Amino acid sequence: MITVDKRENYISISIVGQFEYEVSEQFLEIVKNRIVIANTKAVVIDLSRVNYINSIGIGTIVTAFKLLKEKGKDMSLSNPQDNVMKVIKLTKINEIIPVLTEGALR
Amino acid sequence: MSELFVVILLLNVLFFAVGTFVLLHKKDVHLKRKVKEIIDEINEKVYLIDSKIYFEIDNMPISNISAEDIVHIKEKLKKDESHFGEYVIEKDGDVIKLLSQQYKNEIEKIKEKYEESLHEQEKLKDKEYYYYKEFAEKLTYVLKEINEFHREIRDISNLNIKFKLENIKDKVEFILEFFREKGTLDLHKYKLYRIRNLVDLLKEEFEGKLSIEFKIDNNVSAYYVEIEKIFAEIKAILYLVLKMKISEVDKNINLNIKVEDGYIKFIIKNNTSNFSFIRLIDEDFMFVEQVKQQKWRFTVEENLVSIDVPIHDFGGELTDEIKTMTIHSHLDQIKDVIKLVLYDMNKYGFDNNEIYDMRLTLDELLVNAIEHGNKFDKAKHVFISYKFSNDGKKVAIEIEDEGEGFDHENIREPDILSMRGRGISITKKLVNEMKYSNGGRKVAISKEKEV
Repeated sequence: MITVDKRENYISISIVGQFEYEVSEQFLEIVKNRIVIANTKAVVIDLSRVNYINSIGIGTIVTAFKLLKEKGKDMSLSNPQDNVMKVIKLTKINEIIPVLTEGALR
Repeated sequence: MSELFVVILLLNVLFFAVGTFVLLHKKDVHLKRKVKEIIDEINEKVYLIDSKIYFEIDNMPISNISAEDIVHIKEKLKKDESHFGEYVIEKDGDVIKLLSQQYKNEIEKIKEKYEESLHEQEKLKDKEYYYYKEFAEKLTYVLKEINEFHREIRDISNLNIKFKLENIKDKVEFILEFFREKGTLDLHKYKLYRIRNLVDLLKEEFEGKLSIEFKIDNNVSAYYVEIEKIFAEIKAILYLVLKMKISEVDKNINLNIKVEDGYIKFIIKNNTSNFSFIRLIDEDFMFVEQVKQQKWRFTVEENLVSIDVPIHDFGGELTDEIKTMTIHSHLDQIKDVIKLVLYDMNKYGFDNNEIYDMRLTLDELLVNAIEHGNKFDKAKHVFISYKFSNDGKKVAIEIEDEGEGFDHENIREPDILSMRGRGISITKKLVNEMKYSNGGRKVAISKEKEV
């Protein structure tokens, strides 16, 4: 499940459950059709309720990051669970995409 | 069971072949009678699946259905529709087709059963589901028998023999195709035996018929095979190749067994000039499950036949059980495979992090096998086998696809910003060992408990 919330100065996209095949497709649809044209600069992907991610999920995050970058937007990830953070670190995407933890969004 | 079947089959074929050979000299009246007997016998077996076979010799039909029978059947169909139900009769020379309601019901049952079982988590435990799978497999064997028989009479007779088989082949294909389309997960447990045990069994089987020469590597004790699965098929192939001639060839055929390159190799060499191996045709292979699934490599030359069977190399310590699964190229099936492996890991006391790592590993490798290996071709399989070490501290898994392989010796680190291509690099970091073989089609991994 994916929900999009417009906050004061950023857009939050939150994903619940497993971040893999189907979710990846939906997620990219949303980014391409809605987020890219929004007038907010910051986009935060809320991963706090994602309990599983595979390389397809990681590839999707990277693709979204590039799409948004092209439009001058900044994307970051927030509050991944331990096992999701493990995959993020393994694939080193945290070296290019900021990962925010609790409290950083105040 | 299947061994017994092969033996009976061969006895039948042998008996008939020799019988027919003698009869040929006494002119074809006898041959026709003999053929009719055999047809009756086979028809008795295929009766259950409601099929018939027909032969013509020199354009004279030899059928166990006479003109009177046809009239009788037609009458019966008119009167008793409940028995035959839906039917088709096509008079084409002497060939008629019967398609009975009974058979259609059987197919319908399979379908219903499968649909039902889709809703059940415990699909694998569904006995009836397996009953129908077995049914399909039995049909395959019947077909094998009939093809065998046909080739036999064609080989030994100069007469122009035509062979017609109605229904059976289509039925078998239909059922197998049905399972193929739906994508099933075959889970089997096999005991692993040392290769030496297989050699002993073959020795026993061919003692006095073949001279078995062993060339076995010193490290062979490290290798294991699923004897129950492969012995019958090896035997069947050997008999097929050497068919009928086995008493003549005596010790002039050598069977050489060695281990090389992840395979156990059976090399059968012919040292006589007055005998050559039976040429096998594609249809022969169709019935040997392992060859059909392309797990085995097979070469037949005039004086040399070789069969390569993949073996398992899980290192020294072993439990004596291996589980194997076969799936088709459906992404949906990945979850079933993962579930089973993780369930067992949990049973052996692997912790949640280790289990999570394995979930991700299998996910990545199975997606690769289906997507990059088999290119989503649903006719192709992915083979999975796994086992635990004796002390339960290590799980070893092999995954093999039927694709074209890839250059596994030059795997590049993926670019951080690329969309795809991270699977292998992630996996490598999650397991203790990872080794590709068979041109990149097969990957073996192992994961140990952390101390």
